[in-house]
Amino acid sequence: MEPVHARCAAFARGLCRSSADGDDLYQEALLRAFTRLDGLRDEGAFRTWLFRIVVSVHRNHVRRAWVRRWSPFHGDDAAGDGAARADAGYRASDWSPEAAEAARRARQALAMLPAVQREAIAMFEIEGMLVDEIAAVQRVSASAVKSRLARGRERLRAHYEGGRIDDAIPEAVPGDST
Amino acid sequence: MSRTTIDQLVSSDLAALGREARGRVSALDAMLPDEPVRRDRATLLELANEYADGAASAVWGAISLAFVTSVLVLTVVQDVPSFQGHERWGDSWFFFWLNSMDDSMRPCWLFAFALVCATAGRKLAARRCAALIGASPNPDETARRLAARIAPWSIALRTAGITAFGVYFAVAIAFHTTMLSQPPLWHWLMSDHYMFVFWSQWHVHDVARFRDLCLAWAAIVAASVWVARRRPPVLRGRAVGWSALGVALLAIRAALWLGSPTPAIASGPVPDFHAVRTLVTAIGAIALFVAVASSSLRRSPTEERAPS
Repeated sequence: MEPVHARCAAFARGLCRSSADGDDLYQEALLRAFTRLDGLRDEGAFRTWLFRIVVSVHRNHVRRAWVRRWSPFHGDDAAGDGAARADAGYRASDWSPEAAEAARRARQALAMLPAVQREAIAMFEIEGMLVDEIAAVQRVSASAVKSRLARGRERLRAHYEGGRIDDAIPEAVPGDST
Repeated sequence: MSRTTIDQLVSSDLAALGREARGRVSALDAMLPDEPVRRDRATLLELANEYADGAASAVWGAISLAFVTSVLVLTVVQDVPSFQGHERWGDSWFFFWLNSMDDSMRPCWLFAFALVCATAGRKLAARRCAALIGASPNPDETARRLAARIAPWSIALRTAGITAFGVYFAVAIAFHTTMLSQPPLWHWLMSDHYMFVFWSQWHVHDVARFRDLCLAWAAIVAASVWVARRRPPVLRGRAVGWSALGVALLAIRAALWLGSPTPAIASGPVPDFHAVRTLVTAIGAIALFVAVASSSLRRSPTEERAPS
């Protein structure tokens, strides 16, 4: 459990709008994993199994968030500011403001993606997992994962190009040829 | 910016997010308490929830029982001019409201009243439970005691209330088909509540029906108290509850089927034709009681939980 713990927690944090939300999601996934541990037949596939549970819990959260959006009893939770404040406690002391801003931009852009693409991008880009491993977690073919990665990447690009976060882009970007 | 630049920016931002996500991950033990601690917390929450649910069920049952009881009592009061409270009852605003034809929303008001009472009861119970658990040196024991205290009330009132309500309307509906040229009683329930009350009371006015209903009411209350005190394990079975519900629905349907159009009989001895239908309706009422009692018992599994 311990070797997978840190990576899985990081993956959950990458999926959410803040690290605190990610920890809540991961905690819920852990509880579910413990209650269903008897159902794990192949111990070698533990990592895939745990990631799969995180993905399942994440999709439940996305569905609930969609319902809450239409509910008159839930106002805007000011996710942006609240998340930024919450994340401050999760960073190392030498964490630069530029890096924090970059992470915030990435979270904001990832939040625009459909859940399946967000999961694929987070596993591939943040966790460095292989396409076959992602396919096993998402229970789809490798080509489907490649397609999700390409489409997700395209949406991220479109989001960055759309000007919604242009104000936050730093002046000097390495390799900027414009 | 060029496409390449955007791609690099996306990659560097995602890398920054990855570094942030991997930073300061709490230890596994800190994120997940020990198994006994988790189990205790889950049990405590379950017991507190059971107490609040029990209070809400008891309120629903009490209001249902009060409704049926008041209909029976008011039928007597309305029919007996020599009764002491007759004049006062006839002049009261409640009588006027109950019998006025203007308010087509009356069933909604009654339902809303019961809903508000049950919600308020649940809220008060939850608050009381939280206060007592918070002040107790042994929260588990306190929660278990509270849940055990509410369980008999919840079982008895819920069983008696729902069954009495169901039996009252089953009898009213089953014996309605003796009326010629009248649509089924549920037609009035949907379209005109005044007519529904009028016709259901008309059937209850039948001496034999009224006597049966009073007997049924007493039997239901006594049996509910017995079930709440003894909690027979055989009734807890899900199969028993659902089978009984099926039998109840079939019996009420059969009672309806037996009611071919005949002239109305408002009083006098009950003919054989009615006796058969009474028997079938009685079977339906008993089956309904078993179904509701089974459901009430399954909602209060306090006795099955092993003490810590």
